[in-house]
Amino acid sequence: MVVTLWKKLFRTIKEKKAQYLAAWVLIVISSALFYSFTAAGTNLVDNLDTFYQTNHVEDANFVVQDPLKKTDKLEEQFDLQLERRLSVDVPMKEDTIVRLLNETHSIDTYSVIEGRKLQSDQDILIDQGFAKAHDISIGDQLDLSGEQFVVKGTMAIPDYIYPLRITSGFLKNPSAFGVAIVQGDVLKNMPNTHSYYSVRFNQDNKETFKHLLNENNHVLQWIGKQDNNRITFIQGDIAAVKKMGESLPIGILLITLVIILILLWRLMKKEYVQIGTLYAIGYKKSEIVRHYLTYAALLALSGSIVGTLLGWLLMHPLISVFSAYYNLPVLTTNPHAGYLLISLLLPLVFFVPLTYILVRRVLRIPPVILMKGGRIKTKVNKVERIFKLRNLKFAKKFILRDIFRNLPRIGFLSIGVMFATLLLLMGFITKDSMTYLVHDNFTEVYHYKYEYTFNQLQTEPPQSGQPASSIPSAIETKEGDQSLVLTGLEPDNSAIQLKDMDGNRLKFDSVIINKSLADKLDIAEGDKIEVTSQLSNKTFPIRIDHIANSYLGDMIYMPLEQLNQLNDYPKDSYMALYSDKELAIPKEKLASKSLTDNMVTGFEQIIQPLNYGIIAIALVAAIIAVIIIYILISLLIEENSYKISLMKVIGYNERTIQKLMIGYNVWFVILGFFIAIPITLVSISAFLNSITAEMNITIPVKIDWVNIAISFFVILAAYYVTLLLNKRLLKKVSMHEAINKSTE
Amino acid sequence: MGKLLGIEGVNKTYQSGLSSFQALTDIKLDINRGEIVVILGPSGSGKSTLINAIGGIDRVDSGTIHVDSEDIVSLNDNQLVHYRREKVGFVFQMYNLIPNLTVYENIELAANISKSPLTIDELIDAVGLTGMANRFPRELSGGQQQRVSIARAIVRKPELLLCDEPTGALDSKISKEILKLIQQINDKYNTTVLIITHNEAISAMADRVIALKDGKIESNTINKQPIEPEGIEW
Repeated sequence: MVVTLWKKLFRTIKEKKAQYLAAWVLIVISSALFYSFTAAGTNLVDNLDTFYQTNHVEDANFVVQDPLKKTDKLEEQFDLQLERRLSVDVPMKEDTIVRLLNETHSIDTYSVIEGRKLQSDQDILIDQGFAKAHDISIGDQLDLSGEQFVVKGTMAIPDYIYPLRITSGFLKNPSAFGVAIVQGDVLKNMPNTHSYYSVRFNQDNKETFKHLLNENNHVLQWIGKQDNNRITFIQGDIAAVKKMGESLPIGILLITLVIILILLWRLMKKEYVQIGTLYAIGYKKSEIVRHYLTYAALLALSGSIVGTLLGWLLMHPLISVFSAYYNLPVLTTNPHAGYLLISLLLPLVFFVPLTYILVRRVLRIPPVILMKGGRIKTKVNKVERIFKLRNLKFAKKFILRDIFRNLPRIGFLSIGVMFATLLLLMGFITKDSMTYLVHDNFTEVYHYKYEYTFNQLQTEPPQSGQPASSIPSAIETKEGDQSLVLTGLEPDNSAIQLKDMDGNRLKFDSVIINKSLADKLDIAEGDKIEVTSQLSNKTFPIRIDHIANSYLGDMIYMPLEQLNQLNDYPKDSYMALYSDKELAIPKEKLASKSLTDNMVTGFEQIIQPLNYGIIAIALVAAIIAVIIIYILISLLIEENSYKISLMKVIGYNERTIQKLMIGYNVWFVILGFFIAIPITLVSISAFLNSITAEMNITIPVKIDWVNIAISFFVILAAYYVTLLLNKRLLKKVSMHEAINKSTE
Repeated sequence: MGKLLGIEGVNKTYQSGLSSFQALTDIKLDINRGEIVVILGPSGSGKSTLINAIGGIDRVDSGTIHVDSEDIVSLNDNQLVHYRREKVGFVFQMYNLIPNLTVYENIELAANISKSPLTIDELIDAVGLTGMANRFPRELSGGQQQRVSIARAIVRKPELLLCDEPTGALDSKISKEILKLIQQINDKYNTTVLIITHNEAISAMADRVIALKDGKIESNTINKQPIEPEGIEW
């Protein structure tokens, strides 16, 4: 492109800096989001994979009735790695438990994040979230169950990447629970140590291995890697980060693309005479095309370079926050050339072809017509003809005509507002859905405070508490095995309370499936399914009587008697007790004890940063809304400057002009907002389902009407801010324009 | 003084919906190199259509337009661009300057696509805009803007200077100055000048006066004693 045309380009951008800057900011935001989220997500996946590989993440852990003998023989026979694990829950202070784990050598080995490795019996390494929550530093002394330990650093282990007290939990609470590693011999001498095994298979022989275990022993608990929320939750969250990085910026780019096309269309329309003159002077079509393409290319490239740089800067804190939230050591951070290149080139790839089509379309107009300022539209459009506007009052007639003549612009305004609303509601819906899941659903379903899990089947009737048994099971589906927990309860159990979808209380004298599992398996009441116990490999048919309105885990509840019968367990036996008050059960009989309160407090801690996140999202959404509405309204004023000027000459005041020319847009802003609500609900539902597919949880999509009202006011405020911003532009339209045009 | 332009049997019809408008009918015309030709006619007489066809920015339905023995009617779009670059300069009634380019840059815009353009600074002086090279069009009067437009048209030393109502937006005093400038260019570079106007007075400075009416040539007369623009009675 010739140098002089470059000067024209830069000066045009400078003259319309607000509009171009606004579009540029959108490109920067989208590139920054794209690169930071996708590169952070990929780095996290890489680090997670490396961590799992180098630290040998388990395939499963299990509890057997009697300790395994000759584990080396089993390893050889089944070509697997097997390691005995020891753990003990030690109270540190009131309502705070530290789970001490023994140091392992072949499976779930630890990595030191800060400090040094274990060297003596007094050394202890703790998870970084717990250390931070309790202000524990290297060198501190910890008194745990009478034993004195010296903190030598923080660590990460693959099976506690997300330190949940129970594997089926979903909210960690570092204030109440943490894990620590000590040398193996230390735990052997501590009371109440719980023993289990971690296993890594080299061949697909899990079932035969389990079968052999059950022949001479009894598998009491089997938790596969895929059912262990301590291991799987991070994958779902990384998937969410990556998906967000892939979808959100594309949406912003599409909106920006339309904005830039509108800006260029308007620019070219205004420059018809100049384009015609360039033709007459002897410029080639290709030179003119290049000139106008450069606007889009320049915005796209400069925006993507700045955005990618910001994305690079943003990626590091994002990885840090994520790796700190999960107990993941960050080993390496790579720029990921693929995403870097996409981030740099995506806006260009998006904008250039469509801008090219637009410019070519304009250049199809003969130069003679261009030099006259284009063709004058004399036809009345179809929509306008359908409505008989003649009989209406002037103001209504005027506004309706303007609407009918600018349907694409108005449509885009609604779509733009819809997108901004979608973004805004996304934050609120995430919060509301989480709140529903924990506060409403959790507290509605679980009516106990303590859960005691025994280390073997109990046959003595309990003195207190409500007995239950849970068996990890699976259902064969077309997509593979779907894990679930089969829980047996007494018919009059009140510790867990379930309601059907109509809100009627369900009794445990029937088989009940919870909503999340029913949705995943597409099961209706009355259906029959085949369930396989993951402990014994035994398969048995079950008829589903009811569906419960509960989303926590993938659960099937049935009478305890039926569960014992199906699994050949002794009559009236049970594995767990639910209780409202603390029970005096000897520690040596327990595998674990958990408090439901911890989960709710954990949620409060998680929701706090989410609130800040929602404010940030709301701000970005409001900025996007302001940018879109500002550009469209400023273009509307520019396009109608002659009409506005003429109205001023006739004697209309600015307020009336604003009412006639701009005021009606508020209805399309409102329309965009309300269309966005169902669209957001559907898309968020799809989004949450896709990210929780790998997680043992379903998040029902819920929205609080108060938050809808807040979103509505944010969007409306954005609209009125743009009106204020454009007021100056309206004022600037001079009466000379109309007078000059009429004398030409 | 040989023939530069030869027009033979040119017809042009504009279609607008169901109705059509015959803008040019069987135009036959020869113009010699170095002539100043004034094409006179009221609105709708076809004078703009004729000048656009000669300038290669509009196509005719039939006939031939030979410029330097090359029939521009048969040229494709790319060849027409080349023709306009090499041989034609346009001056418009409303100047058609790029508003966000300076005087110098507006002229440079045309110079950039020429193999051997005139020196821009010298040209600015020649058109009477000394010291105004860095001004933007909005900082100039109508007459000064038209001078820029003329400088832009001649910077590539075109053989044909096509002026579409060059004084249409100017008062009589400034109009005479502009016409004087056009005449000087004609003298200095031996540029063939075609001026279309509805102002009969301007025909007094022409070597040849062609009157158009309803798309047809009404008269084609040689002005044996063209006068200086200063002497034109408005």
